Amino acid sequence: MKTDFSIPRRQNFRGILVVFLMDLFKRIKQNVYVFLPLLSSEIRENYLDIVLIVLVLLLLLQLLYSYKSYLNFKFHVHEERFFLRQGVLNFTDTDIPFDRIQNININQNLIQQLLNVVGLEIETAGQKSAEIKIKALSREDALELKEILLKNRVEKQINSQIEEQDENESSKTETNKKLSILFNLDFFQLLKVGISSNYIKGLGLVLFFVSTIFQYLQEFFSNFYEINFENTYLSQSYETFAFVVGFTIFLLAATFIVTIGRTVFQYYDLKVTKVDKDYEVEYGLLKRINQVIKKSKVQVFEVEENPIKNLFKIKNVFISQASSQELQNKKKIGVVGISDENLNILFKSLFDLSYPQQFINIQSSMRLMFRLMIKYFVLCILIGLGTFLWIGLSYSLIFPLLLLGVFTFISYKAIQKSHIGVNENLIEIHSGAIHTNKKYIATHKVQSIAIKRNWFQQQNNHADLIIYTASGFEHINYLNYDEVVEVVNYLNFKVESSEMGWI
Amino acid sequence: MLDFQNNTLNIDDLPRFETVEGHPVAPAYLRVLRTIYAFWVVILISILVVLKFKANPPAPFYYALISVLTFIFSLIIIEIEKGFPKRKFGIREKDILFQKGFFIFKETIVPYKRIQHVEISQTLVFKAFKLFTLKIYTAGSSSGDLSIKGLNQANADKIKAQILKVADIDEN
Repeated sequence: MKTDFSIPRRQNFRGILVVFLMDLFKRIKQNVYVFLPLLSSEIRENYLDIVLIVLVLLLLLQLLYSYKSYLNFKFHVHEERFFLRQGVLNFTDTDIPFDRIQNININQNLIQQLLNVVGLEIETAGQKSAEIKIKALSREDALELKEILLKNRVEKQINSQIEEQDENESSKTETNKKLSILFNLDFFQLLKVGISSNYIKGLGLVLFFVSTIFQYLQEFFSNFYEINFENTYLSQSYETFAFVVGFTIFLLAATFIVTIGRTVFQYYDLKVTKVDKDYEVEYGLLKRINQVIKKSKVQVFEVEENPIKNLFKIKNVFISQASSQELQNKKKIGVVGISDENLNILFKSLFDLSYPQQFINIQSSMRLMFRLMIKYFVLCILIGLGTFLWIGLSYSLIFPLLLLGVFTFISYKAIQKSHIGVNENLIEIHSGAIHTNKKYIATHKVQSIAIKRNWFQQQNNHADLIIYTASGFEHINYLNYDEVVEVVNYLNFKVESSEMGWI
Repeated sequence: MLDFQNNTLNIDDLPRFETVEGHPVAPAYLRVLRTIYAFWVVILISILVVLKFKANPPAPFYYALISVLTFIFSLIIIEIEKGFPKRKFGIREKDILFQKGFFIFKETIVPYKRIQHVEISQTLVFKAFKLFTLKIYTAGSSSGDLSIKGLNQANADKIKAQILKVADIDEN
């Protein structure tokens, strides 16, 4: 049964629940600290009934707001344009011509999965880009709408090609899509990806979580075990040492579990499918992402490696496409746990070049150590002060010095690996210390270039190079100024003499 | 000359951006910068005086505060005075260049092909001095866009016309 999208219609009826629950969770996430006082038993005893009444009122208000938002959200399709009217108190009318649509994404977060609906996203390019999010459609409606919005573009392209070639061909109304699965990530591979990923973010999350609830943990333990934390540090050094060791082990274990868990949730059941000339990538457990990689939209192709990944013979690939906002890691399309063979296939079809490529390289100078070490030095001093206040003099000297040693080693490695490579068609930006990060940009996709030199660099003939693309910018620091000048002149020439567009 | 293996990137004949004659921005802009600087110095001094008489903070703290602020403000005036002669823009056949800064010197090059749109604007302060700001937007991140401040009307219009003319030619 074909749905008629030319009459203004609302989202799927279950959208009321979807919108309400999604808005509710967003509010709770934004204001979660409001709930923390409830952990204190004193507040619970005295104010519980008031708190409950307020919460129920807020819930009702949110329900009313979401219901109105659902009622007012109406969209339709007419004469190759997509129309949407939305709002609760103020109304916004959006009107997008089909040829401004860059991408259609169909996603499914946990709520949408439970209610058996999908979300449809319309992406456009340009300065004031509109991003339409329809939160609840049946999967059939979503696929149909996607086809309508994209079909006309494909038809137009085919028609104009036929006109150019001046041929009489019986026009095909629907192009048969060639589907073939490039690769599918099984659970075992996914675990390998998790084990070989960057633990720093996981550690940060664990530390943050522990520090927020630390106060409440102290209260909890002092009530149960009658330990007085104040006296423990100074008098019972053995218990303190055991406590510190136990705590560190707990932190490490928690970081390990959190990092692997996050990876599993983020990239569960990763599938890369080749659809005609583009690639469709889907992944995710709670939030299912479905994105299309279009060769023309690709701006940066990033390859991530590290020693553990090399042991497992996998790499991570992140693809950034043109966007009107700065790209965070979330907006990059992740193709993780990819084998070398599949990496070569993906690279070749996006760039029409084999992988790996040869480059002329310009290396960052060791003078960069000054800049990096200043930051780490300040950080170690702060950490030293922190440990001094918390634990005591002995630890506060050893720990920061150890950290300083580690940071020095990391900085040295980072500078060794930092370079930019240039050849006829590509730019390679190499960075990272233990994790190696290689970013590939086609030379004709550069938007603008900048050279930055601080006062010292102006004296010692060095400079930082910044390359801007439609998906953000890349820094390569402390290069030789004369070599930078050569590269800049060359890249400028490439951009200005190329017939190819950046999108 | 950059070369590797069999291939050679022949860059000898390429246009060289570092040899471009740069045009300075309007001298009146230096007056604007000095005026704004003087304004803030006056405000700061009055705050410090009021602080001394109303709150009477301890002497070492007060002198430390004064020295830190003096240091910062001296850096700012050095940046203004020494940095202003470095503010130059250059118009070439296929791109536009702009450079500025003393402590941190930044040169940006934007090919005409990559310009999305051009904007000429004027703040209240600039209006008093008859100066304009020319903003050139690309599809890249906003820190890669050009913002040339302190142009007089003639130059601003000239550059904008030049860009539109060349962009038109490119589109055809």
